[in-house]
Amino acid sequence: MPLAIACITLADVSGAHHSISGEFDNTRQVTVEGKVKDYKLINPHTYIVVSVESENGNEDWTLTFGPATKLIRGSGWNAATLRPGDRVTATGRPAREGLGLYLAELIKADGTVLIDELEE
Amino acid sequence: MSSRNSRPFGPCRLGGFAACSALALAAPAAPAQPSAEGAARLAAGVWAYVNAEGDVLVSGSFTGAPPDDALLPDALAARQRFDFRTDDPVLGCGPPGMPRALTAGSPMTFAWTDGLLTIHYESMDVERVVTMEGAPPDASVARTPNGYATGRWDGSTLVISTSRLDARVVDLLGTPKSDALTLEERYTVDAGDGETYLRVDLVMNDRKVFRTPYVWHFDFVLRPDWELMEYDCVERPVELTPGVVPD
Repeated sequence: MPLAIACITLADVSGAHHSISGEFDNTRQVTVEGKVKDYKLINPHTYIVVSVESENGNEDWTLTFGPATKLIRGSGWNAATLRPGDRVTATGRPAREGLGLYLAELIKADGTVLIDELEE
Repeated sequence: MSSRNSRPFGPCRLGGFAACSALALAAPAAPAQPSAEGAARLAAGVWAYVNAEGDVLVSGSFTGAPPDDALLPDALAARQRFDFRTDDPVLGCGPPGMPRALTAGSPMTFAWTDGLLTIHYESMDVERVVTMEGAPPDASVARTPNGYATGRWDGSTLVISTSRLDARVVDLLGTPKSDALTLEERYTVDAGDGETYLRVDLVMNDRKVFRTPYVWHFDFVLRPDWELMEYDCVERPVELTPGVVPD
């Protein structure tokens, strides 16, 4: 079990995007902290790979979000929004298989909130 | 990511199946006539989707799907078998086709040139051509993802009829569409609360899929300061798919 993980349970929101409900567990929310290894601002989904420290060394988590168009137009993201080595805290629904999250919140170490879609 | 907006139109919207059907199908037919003013209003800029909560979305989104009780048994069974990982052409950046290009709630624009209307949907870079002076297609016309679309004016409302669609799915959940599918869309521009809105009434006629013609309503708001972005869909990198082992 990675050290930098927190997990809470959620009400199921299975009406969401099919790939979200199919690949990600809508009943849980997981938070991980780590360093950015890779970042692809692309459509239809944006990906960020984060290296998370665990009991067994570092593990790569793939963070998935919506289209680049949403982040660019809605939040002003660009290719420099994230850099390798940036430390981030990410919260989202965990992948049913493998190490991944569908992002609901992403915060940089300096406090910059990059994604803020946590459901209350 | 989104901004709150009041919506000027009535309660008839996604999910309001029976009531919406009656309203839309009862719309009186007016003499077809070109509407330069209507064309100009539609071409005034980017139209952004307004969801049921009144939020203006900055990109395409999952807007919903017809409920189970709207589908015939075979169609419902097909949807339940649908596995997006293997069955959804859009996942591999294939064309969504109609009506999915519209129902994705993507920002869109309208442009007229020489009797043709081109609707550009940002999501998946879809360009759809509508013939404004053409007759309905015959059976020799090839089936395509967007089908063959003809447009006309009903007063200030643009009406688009589409047929000759190829086999594909209607939405992200895999609602099927058959070779019997035809679409009728009505586009009406209206003003309210200092904004310019576009109401889209979509009727899907598919006797092999739906129990009765299925009606969908969408609201858009004009964003003249926006520009459509290139989507440049990238097929999902396998190495970034948690739990997926390449073949």
